[in-house]
Amino acid sequence: MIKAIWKDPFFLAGFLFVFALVSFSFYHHFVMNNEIYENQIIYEGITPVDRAPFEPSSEYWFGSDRMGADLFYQIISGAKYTLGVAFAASLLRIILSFFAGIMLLSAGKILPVFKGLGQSFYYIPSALLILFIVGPIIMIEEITFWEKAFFQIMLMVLIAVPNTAILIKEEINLIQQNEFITSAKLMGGNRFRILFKHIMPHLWPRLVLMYVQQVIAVLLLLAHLGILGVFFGGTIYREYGMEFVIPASVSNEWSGLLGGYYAQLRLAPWLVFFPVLSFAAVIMAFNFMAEGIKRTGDQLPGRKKVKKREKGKEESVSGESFVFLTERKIG
Amino acid sequence: MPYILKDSLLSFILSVIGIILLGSVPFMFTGMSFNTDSYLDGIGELFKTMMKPSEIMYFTGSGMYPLFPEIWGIIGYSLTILFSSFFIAIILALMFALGIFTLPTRLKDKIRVFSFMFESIPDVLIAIGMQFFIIWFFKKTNILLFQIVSLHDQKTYFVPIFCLTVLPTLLILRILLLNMEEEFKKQYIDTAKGKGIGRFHILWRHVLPNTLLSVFHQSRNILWFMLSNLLMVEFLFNIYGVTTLVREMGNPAIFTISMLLLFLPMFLFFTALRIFSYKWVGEK
Repeated sequence: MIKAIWKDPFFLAGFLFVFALVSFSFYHHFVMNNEIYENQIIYEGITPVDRAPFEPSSEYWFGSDRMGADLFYQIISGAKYTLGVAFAASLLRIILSFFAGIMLLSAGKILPVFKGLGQSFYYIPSALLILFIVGPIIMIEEITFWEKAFFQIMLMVLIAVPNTAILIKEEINLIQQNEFITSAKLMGGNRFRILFKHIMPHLWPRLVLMYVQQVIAVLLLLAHLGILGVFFGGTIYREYGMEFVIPASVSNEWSGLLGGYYAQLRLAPWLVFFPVLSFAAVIMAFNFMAEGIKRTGDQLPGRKKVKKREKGKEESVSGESFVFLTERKIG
Repeated sequence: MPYILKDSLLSFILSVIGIILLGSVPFMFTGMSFNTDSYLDGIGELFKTMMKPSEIMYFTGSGMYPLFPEIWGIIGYSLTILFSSFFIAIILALMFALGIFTLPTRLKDKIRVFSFMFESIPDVLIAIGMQFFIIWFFKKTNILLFQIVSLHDQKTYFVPIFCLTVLPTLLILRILLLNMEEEFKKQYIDTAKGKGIGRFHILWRHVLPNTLLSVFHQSRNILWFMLSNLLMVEFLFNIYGVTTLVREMGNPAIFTISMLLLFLPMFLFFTALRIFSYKWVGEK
């Protein structure tokens, strides 16, 4: 089934979009030296016509910020960090949940307790929970940027582990109900052999789907945290004009762009709109991938062929293949 | 029935414990280091503070106020927005679903196949899009359609409820469309058709109640998703609701109390739904 997803148009469309975005981001980083065109004033001859922030135009596709930096290239440059964080955090989520799920299999009577405690996550918005825990720690200045980023990623991972672990455990239970598991047990296979030889092949597609869904969840969470002003990517202060110092994102990471530009919503709406739109586009691409995986999972092998044959049969029925009883009597 | 009550009671107690445990997580970290002892102390401290609710204070721009009874107004406002959006979303989704089912089959199938795209729109996009639209409309015509930003004592309802309704409507619509299709394949539909019952009557009397049940099953996920939306809407429209209170205070006691007060009505709602669907179809 894993191979079949490469033939699904939905999965391919989503995958190609994400792949193109990430490759362009790396191309921009290595070949174009991560340069972002900056120009504060546009001249026509020697008379200044316009000054930053510029509106979206054929030259500045997504407009520019107050420093005159092209937003399109900022977004391209930030894509690798945002997507990288999303990929890594969801991978960790799935790995940890997988092991927790296996441990839950032998939890026995503690399981309902664990489930009940996990339910409490359903009544708290996850971005609020992260903000609540990270908030006081971000204030501390002695902690380096990398430690803060690591801490935040770990929180984003751990927050989803309890409920995902329960989900994976239930998936495993569903697979265990199959008859081949019973026969494998009767043949004397030990638990780990059954798990890896008989359950894993059936669990893989589910895990891949869960992974894609987790990437979507992490991206949404990043967007929320960005708006709330908690973001990775680090903040530097740049001089603007003679007297102002404004915060700017070092790495152009998307949630950083979103949080940094949010204050300028009224002045230059495109600065907020395009980062949000890029989040939406990437989430859409991942939804395409998830849908593709679901569709290949649902499809029975060779279903289309069967349909075609049925049609063929209908056409091949001819008048000669049967005789009316009345005609027979006469003949 | 007794099973449902027992099970609900258990999950109620465990959820409350879970929320309290989450509420005291900030005590676990002194700086970056992990400290189990201070976590246990923190839980005790949290209990002590929560035992004397009248002493908890919260700050706004204008000064310090006692949390009770102010919090009832704040939480009531958030809950009004949340639940009215939820119910409006269900009604709208039902109407859309019925509308889509009267469309020709090919169009209907296309909508169903692409309905997964409904889930791709981030809530932030809708809230910000709404703001743009109102500002743009104001600039063009000088008519301020709605109060975009609410002040502390002045409550706006229309815009936040609108923003909070859009995505759940699409989500419920998708659940309805997928389940309706499943339901239509079942054999009792053939029997009903064979008896000469009209298509719309089958849809209304038999298919719809059964699909609504699946919406009820998903209601916990939908409301959780809406809670995240609520956080965004309250932030973007500057509404002083419960998430704003928690966000601005960052105090474990206020966090725990607010989340418990948010949890209680939602939990009662889910339990009521469970009992209701048990009476209806006998499902646990």
